[in-house]
Amino acid sequence: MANLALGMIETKGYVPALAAADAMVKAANVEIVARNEVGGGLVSVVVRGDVGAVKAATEAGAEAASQVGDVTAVHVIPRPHADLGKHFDAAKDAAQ
Amino acid sequence: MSALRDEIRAILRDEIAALRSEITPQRMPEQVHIRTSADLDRFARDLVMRAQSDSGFAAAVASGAQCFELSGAISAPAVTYPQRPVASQSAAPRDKAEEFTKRLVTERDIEGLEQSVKMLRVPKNCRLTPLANDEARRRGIRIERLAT
Repeated sequence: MANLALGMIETKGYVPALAAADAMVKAANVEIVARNEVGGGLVSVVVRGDVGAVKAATEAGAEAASQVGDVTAVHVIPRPHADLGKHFDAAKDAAQ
Repeated sequence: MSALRDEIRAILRDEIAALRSEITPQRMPEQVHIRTSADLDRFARDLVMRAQSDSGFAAAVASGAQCFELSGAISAPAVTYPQRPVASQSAAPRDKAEEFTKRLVTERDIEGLEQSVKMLRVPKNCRLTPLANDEARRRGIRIERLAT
């Protein structure tokens, strides 16, 4: 399971993040690996899977979340480095 | 078979020759030297005089067969002709720009743009999804973030 892409969506509020997570796993073959509540109302969802699947998933997730609330960030890391897993819990399984 | 062909050729030759004689030859553009209002005045008077004495010339000018060129490098058009197409290239630039006001741009938004659009203006706080970025790069669309 090495070198799976990571997709991240950060939203303002819990509900858009939930909507984004739902849309992501429904849109493509990805799995949710983390949900972070940073504070100040920002919630981020991280998914992993093949690059194409992750890109399609973040696309669908961002669109779904923007219907409900505000999207603050959308990003995809196609090939996360192995060291990422040492310090970021979200990247732990993806980058080993 | 070849006799028939020769006959058709002969008929066509005659017809084309007849048509050619009907068509008046295209006149060469006439060089006109206009620098001052006096030159223009003289040119107009000369034009009217020639038109009165030569009806063929008057018809040629009216139909646009006879046109005039300014001698010397004067860029400003001193005399305009209705038959000549007005230069409209500058009015319709080939590369179009589009502007979005929403906060999130997806791949579908980029795909919905016309092919001629090469520039996209988005608000400063706008997010582009990774797929939208890829699509914009593939189509050579430049993304410009507005200052406000």
